[in-house]
This record gives sequence, C-alpha cells and structure tokens, in this order.
Amino acid sequence: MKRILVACGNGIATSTMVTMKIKKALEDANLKANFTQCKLMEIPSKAPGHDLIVTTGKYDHADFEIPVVNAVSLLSGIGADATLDEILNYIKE
Amino acid sequence: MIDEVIVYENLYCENNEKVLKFMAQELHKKDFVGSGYMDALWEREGKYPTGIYTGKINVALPHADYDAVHKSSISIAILKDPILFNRMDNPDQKLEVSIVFLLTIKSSENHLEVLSKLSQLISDQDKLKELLSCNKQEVETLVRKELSK
Repeated sequence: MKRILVACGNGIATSTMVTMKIKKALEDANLKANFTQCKLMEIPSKAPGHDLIVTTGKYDHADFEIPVVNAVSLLSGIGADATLDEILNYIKE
Repeated sequence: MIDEVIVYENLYCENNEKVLKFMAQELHKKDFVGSGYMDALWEREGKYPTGIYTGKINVALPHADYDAVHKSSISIAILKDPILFNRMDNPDQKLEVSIVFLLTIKSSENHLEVLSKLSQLISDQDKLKELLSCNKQEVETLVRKELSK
C-alpha cells in the first residue's frame, strides 16, 4: 500500500483537512493508502519510506526523490479536482 | 466539538498583525488560551502564512503551534475592508482577505469533523458571501450550523 505524508505548518489543522479530503476521494475510487501527518519542518526526517508528500504550505524540495504535491486547492476548492487526480494517479501507480 | 464561536462583525484593523493580535488578546481575556498565545500566533503566521485564495472572497486560517489552549474555539472576523495576508501556498505573495477564521484546538481533543466541515465552508463561495452580509448573531448561527452538519 502506498504511504502518503501530509504536512502543514503545525501538522494538525490544515493537514487534517487535506487528509480527510484525500481519504474521501480514495474511498470513492475504491483505493487505499496509509497516511501520516507531520509539520512542514519535519518532512526531511519523516519522508523516508513514503511514496508521496502532500503539503498545504510551500515546501522547497530541490533534490528530493519523493514527489511533492501542493494541495492548498483542497482547502480553497479552486483546482481541487485536478489536485485530487494528480494524487490519485500517484497512488494508482 | 467546538463549543465557543466568537464573531467580530465589521472589524476594522490596519493590517493582519493587528487583526491577529486583537483576536488573540480577546481569547486570552476569556482565558481560552495562555498568555504566550498572541506571540505564538503571530510568529507562526510569519513562518507559515495562512492566507488562502478561494476566489472572490479570500480567507485566512490562522492558528498557533501552542500548548496552553484551555478551550477549543473558533473566532470569526468579518473584516470591514479586506486586509493583506501572505499566501499559504506562496508566502512571497499577498492576497486580500475578507474573513479570518481563527482556530484554537485543545491538543487532547479530536477535531476531525470540525476541521473537515470548516474546510467545506471555506471552499464554498456562496456561503462566504452570505457570511459577509450577516450580522454577528447570524454569522454565529450559520457557522454553528455548518460545523455541526
């Protein structure tokens, strides 16, 4: 099963909102994944072992092998479908 | 569950720092948060800004990484005029925010549902538009209804 790391400033509020939206989309698509939440600053230490990183805040990820998706659209609603498609595609891979 | 809903109607402040400090101070007066909350909130906004571009009516979702939260609450400020906040997804850019949703969450409690409902509310431009035309009591009623759906 794919492992997704969801990060926001404090690892509590917006990462929870985003995680719940992704879980709902996965359910609808009959897919499953494991989720971990963390703070943005914890990404470098928590990332190993994950297949995808999803963030609400900006994260500069030069030289990072794990794909990073910014999911602020899941909070704003603008472009949310495209972001969910992108995330689902990584999970289906 | 969030028991406390605090609403500021037609709030006028010069800038986002003043908005957040005012809202934090009110929370401290009510003893919902400890004395360090205000600084923690402003520091966090500087590091990880919370302005979200949602279309016409943009919002900010400030919250502090702070342990001394005594009561979970949501404060809503309907701003008299839009105020600039830095964008969550691009901190170098600013955007004009009309409504501020400030959350305090007691770490021992589970707020999955409330957070999920709140994210639905902020991505609904019709609801945000409605909030802008509401008075204080109506805002509280509408937000309570949305969060407990």
